[in-house]
Amino acid sequence: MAGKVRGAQSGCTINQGDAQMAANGIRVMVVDDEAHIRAVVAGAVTALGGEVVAEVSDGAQAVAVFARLRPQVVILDINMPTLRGDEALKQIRAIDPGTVVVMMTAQDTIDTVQDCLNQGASHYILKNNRAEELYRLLAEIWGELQAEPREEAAPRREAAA
Amino acid sequence: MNTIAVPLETCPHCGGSLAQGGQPPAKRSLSRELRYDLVELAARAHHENAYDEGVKVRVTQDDIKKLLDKRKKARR
Repeated sequence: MAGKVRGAQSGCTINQGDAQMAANGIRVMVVDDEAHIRAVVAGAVTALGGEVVAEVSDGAQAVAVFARLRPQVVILDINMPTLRGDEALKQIRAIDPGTVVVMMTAQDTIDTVQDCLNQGASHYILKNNRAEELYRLLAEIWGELQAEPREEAAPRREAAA
Repeated sequence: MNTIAVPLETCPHCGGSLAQGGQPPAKRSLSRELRYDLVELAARAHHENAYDEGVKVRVTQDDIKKLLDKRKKARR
């Protein structure tokens, strides 16, 4: 049964049991320490037909949840507690280099942008943009993913207790 | 509210007469070499600022789009 389960730590919600999504549903994890940003991004993903498999509030948790659920797209903030988004990006890309990682942040310095792109971020969107920009970017990513379907890493089954 | 300052005749701290005050101790003006040229200093500061690693170059979403397009083309 697919159910939305709130994690032990605050701000982590995982849609468990949704590993098998609709054939054309893009599976997305949203990572941001601000709940209202997660809500806006998750709303945009859902409105465009994507599936939010997890909402996570820090980098360390994002890496752990990613390893378990293997979403196709990760929307990742940079300034977060425990583990920064740029460090989480490295770890996520090490687990699965084919993952589309979108950095969504207020960090607008060229050094940060270039670092993230060099580490494998596919896109970089500034938080000061209008929502339309996020919708446009998501639609572009959906198009790219559906045009070039890759072999999807099956989410690991959790061991029975 | 504006008030007009009344010149004091004696110093409020030491009580000395201020009748002869206000005369600068220096008798000669400074030579040209010892003066600060603010325009020159500003130009030098601006030049050095260009090499300051602490200065962050900020970008817009359009700049990021151009950068991504450039990287995509380079990859092909």
